[in-house]
Amino acid sequence: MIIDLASDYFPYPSGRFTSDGTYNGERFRTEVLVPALRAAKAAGGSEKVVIDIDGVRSFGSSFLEEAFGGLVRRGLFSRGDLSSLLEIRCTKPHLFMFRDLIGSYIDSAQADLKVG
Amino acid sequence: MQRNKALFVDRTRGTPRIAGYSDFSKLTYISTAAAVVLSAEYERWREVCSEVPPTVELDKWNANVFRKLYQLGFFEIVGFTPQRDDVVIESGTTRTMQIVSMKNADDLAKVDTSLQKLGEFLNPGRSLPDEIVIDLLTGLSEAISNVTNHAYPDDITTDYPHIGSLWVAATADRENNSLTIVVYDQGATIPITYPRIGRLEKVTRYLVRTLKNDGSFDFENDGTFVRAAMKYGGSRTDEKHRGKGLPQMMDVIKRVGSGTMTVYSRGGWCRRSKNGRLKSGAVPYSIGGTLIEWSVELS
Repeated sequence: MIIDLASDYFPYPSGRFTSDGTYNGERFRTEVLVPALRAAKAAGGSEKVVIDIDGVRSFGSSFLEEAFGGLVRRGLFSRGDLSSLLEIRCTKPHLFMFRDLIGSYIDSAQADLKVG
Repeated sequence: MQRNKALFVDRTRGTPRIAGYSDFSKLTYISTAAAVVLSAEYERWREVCSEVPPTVELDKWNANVFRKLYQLGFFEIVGFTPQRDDVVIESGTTRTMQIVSMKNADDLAKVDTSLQKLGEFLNPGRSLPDEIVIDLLTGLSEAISNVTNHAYPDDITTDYPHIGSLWVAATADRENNSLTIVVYDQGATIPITYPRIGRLEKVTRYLVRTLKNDGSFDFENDGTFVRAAMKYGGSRTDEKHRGKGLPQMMDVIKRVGSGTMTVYSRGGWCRRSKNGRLKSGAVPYSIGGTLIEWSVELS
């Protein structure tokens, strides 16, 4: 399953919660990511959930952490789950750092869980 | 709009009595930051008092000041559109986008469109590089999140009633091929809210070392709080995954290359200069909120 973050959600996703804006990280996680990942997991993980970020115009850390780090932090999926179920796709070199940032938020959330 | 029309006072045919007004005819320059603060103040007046202070003797205002305020949309906030035959609004080496007043990040698309137009102004026929616009919008996104999370807490009363807004504007300057982007709120300010964060040990050590107990003027420590917020970030909950806002906003300048970022909050300010160093200070008067300014020199 391919989810185009810009066209399927919003080109300017921002903030963690509804108070930050309509297209916030919590909403993306609960309404888009979690259902897609659960469906992929139920299907045995044969097909990844691919998030295409090429068309996105803003990558605030609050949005990225809440949407992606929140998957692990809230105990919905482990980093191991996500490495087999989730792929962040981008072709623009200037967006690679944001793709990597998403990975680092997932890693940090997993590390924080272990410390906690 | 009609209700404010009477607040433009034409004094060329005599001197009508006016209870009070600000005389802008003495100004010879106004920065984008100052223009944004001024416009926000007028919007607050309009929303809270249903009217704005009168604008007087517009024909005597400096052409550059008049032009910048006109482009910014100041007169739309005031409620009338003045005409001056001697000022061509579209001339000059700078262009300022119309101010965007917003409650959250939903209007970032408007800012994106305006930045593209400023890019066209700088380099006709060429758009701003995507990586720069995306970096700036990313910084703005974080700034807006900071405002929605910290600027208007229910348990802190601001000196003047606020309208829960934030304002974004930008100016392009052809002389040095630069962009200046400003975001401003009229909220509680960093010196008030930062001491309430769940502080990491190193932040506490920094504050204990740097804060002065016997300040010689009001707001003397404000620069220290702003500097700590830029240096360490932090959130009220002390959760590790939060509080990255201001440091990420500085990352914008690191990525874009040559530029500065300055944060003004109440009486304090802190600037990240081109060489990456932080410099901070304070003045004994308040900016009435928090203002973040990025100045980016484009190659």
